[in-house]
Amino acid sequence: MDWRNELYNWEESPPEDSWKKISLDLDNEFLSVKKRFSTYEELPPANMWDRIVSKLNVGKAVVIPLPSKWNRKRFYRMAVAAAIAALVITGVEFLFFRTKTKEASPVQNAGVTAKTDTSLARPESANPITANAGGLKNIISKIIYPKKNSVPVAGADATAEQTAEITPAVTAEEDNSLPENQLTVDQISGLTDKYDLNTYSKRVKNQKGEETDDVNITDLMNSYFHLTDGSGSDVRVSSKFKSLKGVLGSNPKTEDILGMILSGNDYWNSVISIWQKKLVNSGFIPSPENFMDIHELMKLMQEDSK
Amino acid sequence: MSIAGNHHITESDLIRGCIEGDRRMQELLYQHFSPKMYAVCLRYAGNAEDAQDILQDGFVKVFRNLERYRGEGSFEGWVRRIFVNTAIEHYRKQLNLYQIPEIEDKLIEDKDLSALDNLALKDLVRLIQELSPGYRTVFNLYAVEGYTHKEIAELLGISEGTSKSQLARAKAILQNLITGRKKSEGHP
Repeated sequence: MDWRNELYNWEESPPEDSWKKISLDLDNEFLSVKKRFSTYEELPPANMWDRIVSKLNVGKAVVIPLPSKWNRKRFYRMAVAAAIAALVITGVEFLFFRTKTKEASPVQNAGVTAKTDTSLARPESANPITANAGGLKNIISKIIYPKKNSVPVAGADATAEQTAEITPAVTAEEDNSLPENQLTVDQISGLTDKYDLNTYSKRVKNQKGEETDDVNITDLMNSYFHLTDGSGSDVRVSSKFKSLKGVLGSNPKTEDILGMILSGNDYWNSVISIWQKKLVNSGFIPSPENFMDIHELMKLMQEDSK
Repeated sequence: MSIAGNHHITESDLIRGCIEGDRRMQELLYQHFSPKMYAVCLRYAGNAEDAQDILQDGFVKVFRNLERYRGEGSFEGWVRRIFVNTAIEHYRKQLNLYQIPEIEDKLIEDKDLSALDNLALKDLVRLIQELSPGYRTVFNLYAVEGYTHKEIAELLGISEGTSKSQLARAKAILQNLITGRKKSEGHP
């Protein structure tokens, strides 16, 4: 019976800490207490599980299943690609649109010197900066703002209507008769304007807190209007002057808008009031086709600054 | 090994289920361990309300850290350690272990605590609960959990000498409590 002998003589080393445990028990004068407590159980209150569940739910972390090794690689690659794409888009947006919008600002391009600045006489499509920036922005804006850009023709119509109201030289029909790509460029010029509602515009409220006509104020799609100068050339002018011209022409709508802009500003109210009186008593007839009124306003402001 | 009378569920099934957030498995684990762990909590706590808070926190920790259990040592031992640590954490501010000067073990009169054996466990728990958090913690760690003074010192951030002093004082207080109880019950 070898197996019996083998079994009888079989040895196996106990875990390393077994002697430590034995010696501790030998030293532990509370050994009996320890043994009694080893089997001691006490039922917790009946609502304890509900309490634990509620705490687990309250502090529940969002559990995102850990991807497998293969998936994790793919996940990281996608994350890095997304980050790079975000950086590139932000960089392009910053470099092209912010800086070039500044360059192509209607305030700068169509300031008071509009009459003599020949660059303003060029149609928008001829402005390389505007056209270039607009081209890029148009592509991206079509992606980001599909709804807004889905109505370019309507925008162009509105532009044409407003333009026609002031300058019969450029009619709605003519605008619409432009080739399709030309219409697109017009739309681009609106978007490159600093008044682009999508990005930069601020809602203008009247004293009642209403946000009416703010689009007309900023004149988003028609940041420029066209005048025909004495020689018959088409001159592009900032739409800011349209409101002023509306005041001169007693257009109640534009007058109201101008009032909205200047409401609460005593200084400008006073300047405008004096200006209107001067115009009434002036020897010239203010009209959309001349800049005498603007010239008068400049004189008034120069006097005031002295 | 079956869990809570469910013969077809093994401990590893239960652990896996809990890690996956299976609430049914979590409840099974709770049902299996809660009586033992509540008893642990009652020993370390000063009262039943505190014990229930510790039990609640302890189970939340168990469920949220279950994936850290590597299968080394018994699962029950791992769970128990979490509860002991939770209880220590619960009372850490109240332990006041640093305020007690170290006393040479030899200077403390050796108390005969054989009377503890004659007490019902519930009464014994009540006696332990009467100790201050510091004494109670050291007593539990040394007498019941089987930690050495060195281990207690590391766990509580105190010196071994302080651990010994705390235990000696705990013993003295327990002896006094038993004597007082005997007197109040009319025992000689």
